[in-house]
Amino acid sequence: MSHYIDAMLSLQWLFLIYFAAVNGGYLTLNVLAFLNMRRHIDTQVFDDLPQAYNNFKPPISLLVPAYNEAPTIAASVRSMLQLTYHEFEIIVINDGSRDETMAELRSEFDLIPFPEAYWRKLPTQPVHGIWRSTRYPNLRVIDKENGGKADALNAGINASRYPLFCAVDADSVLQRNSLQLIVQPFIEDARTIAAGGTVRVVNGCQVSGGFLTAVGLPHKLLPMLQIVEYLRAFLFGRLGWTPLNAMLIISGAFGLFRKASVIEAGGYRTDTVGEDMELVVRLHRLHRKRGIPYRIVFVPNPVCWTEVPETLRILKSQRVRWQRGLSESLTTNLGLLFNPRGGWVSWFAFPFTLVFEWIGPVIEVFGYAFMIVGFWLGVVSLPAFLAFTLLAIVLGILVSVSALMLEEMSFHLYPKPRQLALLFLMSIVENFGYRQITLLWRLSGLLHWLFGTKAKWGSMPRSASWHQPKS
Amino acid sequence: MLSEHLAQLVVWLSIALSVLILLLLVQIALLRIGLVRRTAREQRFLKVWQPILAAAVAGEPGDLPPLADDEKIFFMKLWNHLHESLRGKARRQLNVIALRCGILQDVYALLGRKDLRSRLLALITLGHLGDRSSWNNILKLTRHRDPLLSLVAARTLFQIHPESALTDLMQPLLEREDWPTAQLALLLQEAGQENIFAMLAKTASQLAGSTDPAGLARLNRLLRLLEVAPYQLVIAAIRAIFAVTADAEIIAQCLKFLREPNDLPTVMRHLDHPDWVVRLQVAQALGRIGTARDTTQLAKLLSDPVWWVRYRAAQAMVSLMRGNSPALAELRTRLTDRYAQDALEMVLTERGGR
Repeated sequence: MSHYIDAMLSLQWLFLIYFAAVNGGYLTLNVLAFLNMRRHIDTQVFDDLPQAYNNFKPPISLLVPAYNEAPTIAASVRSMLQLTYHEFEIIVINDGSRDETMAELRSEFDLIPFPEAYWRKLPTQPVHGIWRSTRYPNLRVIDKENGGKADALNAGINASRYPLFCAVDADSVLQRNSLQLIVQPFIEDARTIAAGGTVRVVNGCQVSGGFLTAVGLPHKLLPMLQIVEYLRAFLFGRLGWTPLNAMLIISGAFGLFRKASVIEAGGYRTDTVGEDMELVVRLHRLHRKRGIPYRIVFVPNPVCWTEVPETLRILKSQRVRWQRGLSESLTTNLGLLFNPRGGWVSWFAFPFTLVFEWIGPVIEVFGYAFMIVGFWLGVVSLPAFLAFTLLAIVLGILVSVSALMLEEMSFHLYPKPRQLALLFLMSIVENFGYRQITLLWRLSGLLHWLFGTKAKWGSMPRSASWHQPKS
Repeated sequence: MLSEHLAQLVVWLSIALSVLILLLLVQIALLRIGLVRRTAREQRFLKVWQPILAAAVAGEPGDLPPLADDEKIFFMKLWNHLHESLRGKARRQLNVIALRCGILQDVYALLGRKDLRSRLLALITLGHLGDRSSWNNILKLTRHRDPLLSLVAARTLFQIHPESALTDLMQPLLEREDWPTAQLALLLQEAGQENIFAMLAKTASQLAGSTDPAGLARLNRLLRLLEVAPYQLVIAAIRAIFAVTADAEIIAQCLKFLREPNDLPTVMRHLDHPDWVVRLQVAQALGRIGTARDTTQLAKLLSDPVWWVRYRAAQAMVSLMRGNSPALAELRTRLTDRYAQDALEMVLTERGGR
């Protein structure tokens, strides 16, 4: 028995060290995010000036993979056609949809077959045909065999004509000036190869004609909790890593990439469910390995709004998929870990993500179990048990409130004080059950990856209750 | 067992962090209150000053109400916004108003501050005012390692006096890699003075014979900046560069400038260039200055191994044959190379020719 107790005493120190490291890491990221945001706020002085028409901005290809999106695809494309940018093309990639997606596109945009002769730089599933809109010269549609989102994006890259491409989810709601904002890092620094923007939660907001018209909060608890989670993930997670050039993920919902760099890296991997993260990690790895200077940047402006799950079942499936994607992205790019030429991304961001995000769920679930068993065995006293539970909750709240603070410092998108109060309440509530259940789902995702299940389109049933047709 | 002392320490730490959370909440509340007050104050300011500045722009400046200290930033924001939206005499009227309001000293004070926001606002305002008295301070800021601050400082100098700015900034213009060429080109275009483009073209001629990588990089950058220059000011320099350079990147850059049929021999000289970027520019140049007689030469590029060259060659072909559908259709049937046929077919469909 004493051996067990000795082992448990050793383990408790291990958990304590982990606990201190993970929270120390998050708080450090928080400080970095504050500094970065400060600079961003300073440069908002330009927001008050009229934007000069700048035809020096590089043209952009907007790639919109679509799988069974018949009910919403026409509205989405119509809103994308209204983006304010001087030169862009939209390429919708119908990835072998089984519904009426293609028919919908054909009739809404008067598509005609287009004999596109293009350079197939990335291998993809067979393309049945390319169509061109007779009403919008900058709109084309690729109709191809089903191959998954990554394959669809690769087909889009092949057919795209411009040096930058923007991968967009068909159901994303974009800010009208999103392209202008996201292209800025590419203009400011020629080394920029990828840029991601903040994705916000659209549930509870008002959308008309494909654009956001009023920011609001959802009535349901689950999406409300995810708003705080998104603020945390984007406003300090990614913003914190950016000054170190160590951001490991750009959301698949909206990200701008230099096409040549992506092609050089081999395009999107089709055998992963986390193709967005995997590509970014691989870009880091290959650029570090080849000693090519590069920057992967985060733009804190809210450029894209997305619907989050409103039921536990869908949320679970999403989180399991995310964890699996994370596992695949990290394990296929282990060469980035402690690479002598790897810089911050190799020595900090990658190990941090590996320990705290990837295997973190195992340690944390084990830690919870340990505390309970330890308490039962008398290895952990009641005061210690309560003290650590209290600290974990307080730290959780602190990190979320910091994200709220960043939001209020910068964009203050939630106009009513009541909304801020509700979000603060959520940052407390999430510590009592929500974080624990997402932890279990992440663990489940890890097991799914470990025991292997087939990858498929990462689609999520959406209610689109926020959507209102244009009056 | 976990020591009671440690547990106590953890409790105290939790209490301290809870206090921090409360402080953050207070800060959030203060930020919101500040925002609401600032917005209301700004609205009141705009209600008074927008009509005044509008009248001033129309050439009817009346009496000016006193400008409170906390209104000066609002004034600068509104004034700069109008400045960027207007041209010519209206801008001069705005400058008169700004000087009557006595904001110059406040702008100098902002320029001397350390925070980025104040410095940027001061630089933008000084650029619009065309005030030369802070020239040296602004010049110092162009050497700042922050690319944004230094570039805005450079823009201010170009707004104040383009020729002097170019003299002082020629070296960083050609060498500072963190100054994006697109932004610099915009800045030069805004300055819009023929003298500065002539000076840049002269420098390009001087660099024409460069063979070392640094010299070639500077020339390349210079050529990108000259893309916004009036054609007649740069073409002599471009021809001089063509006469001596063998660098593919420079040749490709120079081909972009050609507009006259008498430059056709220069274009044709590079038809078989080993670098595809040069061949691509050849195709585009032929599309601009070629004639129907050049289609035979252009047809070679329709079979180029690089997709982009074939595509541009096809576009040029359609342009040279002035969209003559029967002739183009006949040409397509004569082509034996499938890639050439595809490229032409695609461009014809794009133009609605089929």
